[in-house]
Amino acid sequence: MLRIQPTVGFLATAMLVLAFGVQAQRVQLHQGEARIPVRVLGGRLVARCQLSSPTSSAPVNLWLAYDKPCGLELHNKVAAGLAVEQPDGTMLPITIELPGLDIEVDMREHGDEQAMEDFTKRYAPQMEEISVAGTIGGKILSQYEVTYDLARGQVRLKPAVDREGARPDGPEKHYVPGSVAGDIAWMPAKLANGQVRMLGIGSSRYDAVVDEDFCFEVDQPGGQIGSVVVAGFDLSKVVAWRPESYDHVHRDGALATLGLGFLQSFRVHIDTKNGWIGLTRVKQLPFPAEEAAFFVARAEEEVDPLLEWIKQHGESRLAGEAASMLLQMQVDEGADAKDIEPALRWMHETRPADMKATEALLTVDMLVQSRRPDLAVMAGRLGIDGGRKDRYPEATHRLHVRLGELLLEMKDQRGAWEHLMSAAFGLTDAFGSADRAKVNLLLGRVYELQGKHRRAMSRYVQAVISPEFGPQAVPLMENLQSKMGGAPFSYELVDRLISGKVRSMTAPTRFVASGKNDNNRCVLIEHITNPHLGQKQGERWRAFTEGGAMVFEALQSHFPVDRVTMLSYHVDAPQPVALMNEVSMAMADSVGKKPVFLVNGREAGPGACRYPDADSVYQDVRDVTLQGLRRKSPFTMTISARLEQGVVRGTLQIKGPTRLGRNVELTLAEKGAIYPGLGATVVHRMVARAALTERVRGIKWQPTNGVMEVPFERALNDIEAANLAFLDAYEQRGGSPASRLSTRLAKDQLVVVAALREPGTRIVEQSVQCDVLLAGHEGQR
Amino acid sequence: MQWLVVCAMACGATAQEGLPQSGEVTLKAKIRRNQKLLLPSEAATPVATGFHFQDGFGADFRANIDGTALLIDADGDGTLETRVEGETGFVVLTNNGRRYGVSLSAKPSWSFKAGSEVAGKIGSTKIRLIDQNHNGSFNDIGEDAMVVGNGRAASFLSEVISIDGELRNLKVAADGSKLSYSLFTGDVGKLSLHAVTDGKVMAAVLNSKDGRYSVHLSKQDAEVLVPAGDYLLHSGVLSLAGSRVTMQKGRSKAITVAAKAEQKLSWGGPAKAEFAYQEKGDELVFDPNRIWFYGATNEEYRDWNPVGKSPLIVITDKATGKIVAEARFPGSC
Repeated sequence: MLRIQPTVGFLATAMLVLAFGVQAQRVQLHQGEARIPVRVLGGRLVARCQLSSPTSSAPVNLWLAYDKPCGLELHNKVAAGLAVEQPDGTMLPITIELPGLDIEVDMREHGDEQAMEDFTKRYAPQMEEISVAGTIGGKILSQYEVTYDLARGQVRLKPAVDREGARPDGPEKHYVPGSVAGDIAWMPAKLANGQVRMLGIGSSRYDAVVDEDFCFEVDQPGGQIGSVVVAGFDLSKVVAWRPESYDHVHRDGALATLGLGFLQSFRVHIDTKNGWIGLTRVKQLPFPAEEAAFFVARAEEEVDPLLEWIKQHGESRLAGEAASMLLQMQVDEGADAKDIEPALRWMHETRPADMKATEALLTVDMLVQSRRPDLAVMAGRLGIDGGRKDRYPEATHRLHVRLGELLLEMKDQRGAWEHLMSAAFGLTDAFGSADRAKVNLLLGRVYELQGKHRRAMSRYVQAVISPEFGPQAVPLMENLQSKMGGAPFSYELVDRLISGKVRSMTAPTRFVASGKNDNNRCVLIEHITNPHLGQKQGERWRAFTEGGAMVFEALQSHFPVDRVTMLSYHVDAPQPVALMNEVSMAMADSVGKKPVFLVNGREAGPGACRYPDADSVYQDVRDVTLQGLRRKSPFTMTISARLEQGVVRGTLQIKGPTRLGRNVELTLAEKGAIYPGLGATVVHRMVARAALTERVRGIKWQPTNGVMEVPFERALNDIEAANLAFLDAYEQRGGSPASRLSTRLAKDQLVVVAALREPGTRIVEQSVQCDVLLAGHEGQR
Repeated sequence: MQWLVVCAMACGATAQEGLPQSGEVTLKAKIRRNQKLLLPSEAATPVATGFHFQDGFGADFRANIDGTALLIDADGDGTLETRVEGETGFVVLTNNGRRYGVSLSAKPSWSFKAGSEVAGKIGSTKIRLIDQNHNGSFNDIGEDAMVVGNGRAASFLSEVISIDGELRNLKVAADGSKLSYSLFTGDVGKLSLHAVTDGKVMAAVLNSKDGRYSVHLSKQDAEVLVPAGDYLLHSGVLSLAGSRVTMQKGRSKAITVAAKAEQKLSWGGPAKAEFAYQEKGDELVFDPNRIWFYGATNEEYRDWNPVGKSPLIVITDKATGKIVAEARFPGSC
């Protein structure tokens, strides 16, 4: 939003002035000449400077890019640090302090932040750990006389002087007419066929980029476009032209943009104010014939030319690019491992010494996704070999995890174990939390294969509490438990195994009925939640489901079941889960799917929070519940339920006044369901599984002489099948799939919760619950 | 002008010698991990339960979520053997020796775009077809995409294409294995497009109103033969040294290309803007999302990139013409 306060009290006209593309930046010119030390890093020209605003200052590195028609691009974080954008929309000027010259600009532009961050990550050591914050582009540079003197590692800027177009006498040896188009400096070049086309002077990449459309027109897709002569120099003998998509424009025909490769051979003086560009050849470097050959090979888009090229030019600057292309083409075309192995080795050889393991991770992942585990192992081993010098030491440990997983699939238990143990010792939560969880899972599998069941279970328990691998660990635990014997696999068993490893909360006090809250009221607490509520922060997950689950547990421990009934409903946001069903989604819709605690149908607190906040949420919900308990209900409910031959049967009796517009709801819940998720909760309690009435919203309250009896009966198999069908239908409607964990109901963990509710307001007048007794164990509440 | 002349000759303005009037071309799949083509209308498709390409590519490839990872049955054998972790991925689906690439993204939920094309040549003219609607079939007229010749700009798949100045009917097999062509014998007209812009026309796509024909042009001035009928600007991309804006139909109206006649269309500048603002007390509030730009034929321009190049908002006193206030949106907009 932009707020403007006009200086007069009434609005007259608002006129929008605009131009396509770039707005002019007002640049204050100061006297003096800047001699800027520059470096060529990663194919870019980098300069250190100080940026300052009226309130702040920061040292930064900036790209110098004459071929970018921008003024000063800055990363948002740097702009924020300089406080140059005021809340009312006004901008404070930014000063670029260069050695010998200050440049003041009215406002900054927004640049490609990802590119800046990637570049900084890659070249931070060479830049003394000072980030690349943005770009000085053509809009600023074109207002100066610019001399590129890369032989001396320098770019010089001095304010342009109007000499009425007079050709300079020096200092350069050759001067050609120069023009500006799109804030870029251009000079004319004569082609082999006699045409004249324009060349831009660029400094944002190493290669000289030529318009690929032109290359197609002259039937030279590889860039061999013939002579390109400027000031007597055939630049086709100086640079290799790289065909690319080209979007520069000049009225006389933009052909190409020269890059840093050209500037390393020539000192270039750009005086666009007077319309001249000066050139002096300062180095006679050999023509990069291998680069030209690469561009030709690349254009053929076939494996053999690239392979041939890299065999001959494996030491070239472009060998890494060639190896990467070759590898991907060979993999995508299904080549044999023996044919692909050389490309893998070249990729490894051409990687920077301090990034071999880090970059190997990407290659391993690519090969795994391409279903080439054999090659992935090869790539991983190469990466580990070079990992000692990698600037990111955790990269090696991550490779160990990848290799452990691959070798386990390839039945090499010993190899897998060695790699996984290396990873286990090396990874920390700060770097590699997800990989650590995976290590536990995989080590569990290794130990299980080796018959070391206790050790395996211990590892699975570590994995089940992790956000990323919890769901995978559950079936493994269940399977292992059946092998180990003893207690059957259940949520109670899992609860015991994870006790002390996950956060839980028990209320410090217990509810005691007395005074006003000693009455017949039974309050219903409902919890709308999802196992995946959380947020990724760096390597870790900030879990929110966890806090809500802690509140739920504390409420359960504080209130007795004859005074407070509880239900949880699982929704499909942020991810669908197998605990969701028709009942839960109906309740979710009524609250807009937001995680929330309802007390007798009214919102009482957030249903998800971080664990430090769980205590205060618990207190809030508890207090609302206590208020609800003070109000006697005009209704009394009694209920009993049993499970006979797979059918849940029972009766609910309600006595009370004939108040129309109420519904009787009967919900079958499970005391505990195992469903680990990103929200760091493994066991979910009192999970609503199905309605025991024909309609999800219940049946109408229609007493006869103040009494209504509601028998209910539903087969467990039908409930499980209906819930599975619900998930299938959800996915068929385009929903994301949910893993089918915990779709079976545990017979000895079932509870029926009944509520009398006014559907329009969601208000609950009375509720009751009872355990579903297995046949032979009668009782009622 | 000389450049244009050379260009026309290099393109081969005369018909290819020896190209038969009809024929069949085998198409070969090419995996494209880095999609560089400018497709007219590609949107990411949710992966959901998988890639159900039974009609067309000939197989169903199931998918499932496992925690934060995506599992895919990439070879259609019923086993979810491929695991994709992280924020992006690329998987090649295979069926009976044929390959289909999918470029995956995890945010906000797992979705994919086309990561391959099928290509062949009619004579010496390259034809590339892309399953733009991601349904596993390559023959959806008006929904899939195609590139005729070199270059990166694609049009929608059309029933008719121009090969060296002659129109040909085109039929593509659903599985993308081949195409057949034959001489078009219907009414033909000429469309001349002129773009008024300081930038470069990277792509401009026109579709016939009935959706059967589509043509792309990636030049500032272009002439193309088309079947007679009504045509609408669909979309385009203008670019200048990395700055880019997309063009959409907006409020532009159809143009009619009559048989044996030429229809000229000038699009692009001059541009006009419409904007909304709110008065809140003594403040005027402008929203960068509530400014709309239109071109000469009322086509709309949006998705300006990079951001941070705000228009100047000038408020003047109606009576005196005096500037009352000026402002720009901050560089983060």
